[in-house]
Amino acid sequence: MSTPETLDRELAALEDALAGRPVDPDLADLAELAVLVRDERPVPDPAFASSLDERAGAGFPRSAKRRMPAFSWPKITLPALGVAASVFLVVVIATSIPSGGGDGGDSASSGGGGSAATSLPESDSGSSGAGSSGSSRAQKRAAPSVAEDSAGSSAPSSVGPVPPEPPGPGNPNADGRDRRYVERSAQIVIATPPRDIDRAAAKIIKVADDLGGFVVASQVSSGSSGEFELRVPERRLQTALSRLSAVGKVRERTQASQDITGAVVSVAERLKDARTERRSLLRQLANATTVNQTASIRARLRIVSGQIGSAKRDLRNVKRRASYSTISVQLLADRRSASAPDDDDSSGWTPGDAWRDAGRILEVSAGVLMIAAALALPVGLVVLLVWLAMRQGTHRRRERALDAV
Amino acid sequence: MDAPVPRSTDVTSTLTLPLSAARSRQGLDFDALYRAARDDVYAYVATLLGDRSAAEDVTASAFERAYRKQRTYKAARGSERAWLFGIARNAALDELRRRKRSAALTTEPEADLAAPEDAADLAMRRAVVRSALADLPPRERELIALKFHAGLDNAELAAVLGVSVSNAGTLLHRAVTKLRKALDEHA
Repeated sequence: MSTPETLDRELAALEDALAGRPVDPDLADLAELAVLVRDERPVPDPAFASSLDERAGAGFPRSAKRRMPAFSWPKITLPALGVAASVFLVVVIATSIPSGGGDGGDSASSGGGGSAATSLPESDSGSSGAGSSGSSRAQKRAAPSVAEDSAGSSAPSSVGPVPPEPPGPGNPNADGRDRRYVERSAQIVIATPPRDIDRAAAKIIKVADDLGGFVVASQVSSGSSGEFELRVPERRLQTALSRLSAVGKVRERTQASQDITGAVVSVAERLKDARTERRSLLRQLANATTVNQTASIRARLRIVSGQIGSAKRDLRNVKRRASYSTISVQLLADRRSASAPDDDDSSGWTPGDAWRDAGRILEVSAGVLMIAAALALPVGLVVLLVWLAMRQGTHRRRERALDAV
Repeated sequence: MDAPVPRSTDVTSTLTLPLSAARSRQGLDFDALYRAARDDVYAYVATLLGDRSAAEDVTASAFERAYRKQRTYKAARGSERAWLFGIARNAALDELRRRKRSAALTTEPEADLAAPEDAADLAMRRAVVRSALADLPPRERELIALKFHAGLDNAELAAVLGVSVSNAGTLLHRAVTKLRKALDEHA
């Protein structure tokens, strides 16, 4: 076993021998070995050397045999492929991005302007009492009166179709009621460009009119905001919400429902009791023999009649709560709620629109780049790992080929 | 001690065609590298493969690969010669894999036809060295080829083989010791 000093000394002697320098006498055999081994160096055939020189001088031209099947990418191919892939990605993402809260194409720009604050006409529903001035169209849509029903629990003909069963577990008919009354309400917040506030307000009112509903209250500040309280038939609540969602960008939308069957039954029972008492009083009045008896019964009849009238009003109101749904609409002005120009938009495409569009394009581009990076990162990582594995595999196969000799 | 024998003897051909297009942007002078290393690469490959015909193909293939990949050369990773011999080594090992040919030195012993009668002893010693070289394991024969036939220094040797310089020296010393022992036994 050679010591490190011996190893270094003998390696140095080899270097000296190969370089033609003298070596220590005790290492003369090593120097001779080095020269002998070097003399065994194979020398290329002159014809081969000449041929290789020629090929090297020509830049190692590829043979026709290799050139034919080899597919060479043009230099522009890679950048072109990259651009094409990017464009494809943009198109895919642009077509797959939802149009934002279901805003439809009618969220068009308008001339805007007008008064600073405009109170839209209100309609009188007869139930809320919120409105005072009449609305020409809303008044036509006044809520249909609820037919009186002595039983109270039977289905009134004017209430409309049976409302859906209330949510929640359990059997809704467990309390023995064959008909349930559900009060439904919704709130929706819509954003439109400031110039579209007035137009959006008109659309909201039109939704209520078209669906057989009415506007309970409304207030619009031109170019700023608006608030509406609509009442629409319960069976058209979803249609109304859908159409309202198309007015602008929906920022918030909530729905609520409450079972008011108990309230209906309670009022109906009160009405029934009062009617029963009135019939009893009428019979007593027929059998009364003295003036005092007659006066007492008549006084009692007046009270009961008042109770019957009150119960009828209460029953009508509580049933209307189920047959008509309340929609609270809040209209907000938002400059970012860019909308496509409407057909009748005469203001055209302004520099402000261009600025906003440019910003939007930059946002989308940044998003696309982020998505592309998110896609490319794992794919690139996998490709890198595969490449490293293949390289390592090739290295191992080469080394095995040397060992197998 | 024998007089030093110059490297690359018996070279009769010279490179006459310009290789201006071969100059790398990174400063790799392929022309100069080719001229300096052509015979060394051939010697290394021929020793490793033990087949002169295959060595010619592999040498040409190695230079062609190096020519195509010259832009990938990074000076920080090692010398030009180490880079070139790394390519040549891969080409030689690919040839071994492809042909599954035994790399036993089947040569073609260099016929010492020109050896005079008084040099019989020297010829005998050369034959012993040649035989011992052929009997070496391929990895040790490769070390000898890189060191004595290709003329690589230990740092280049280490770079080609992917080992440390000290490890390369140790491996080289081990191979030389085997040859030395074979020569001593014959003596």
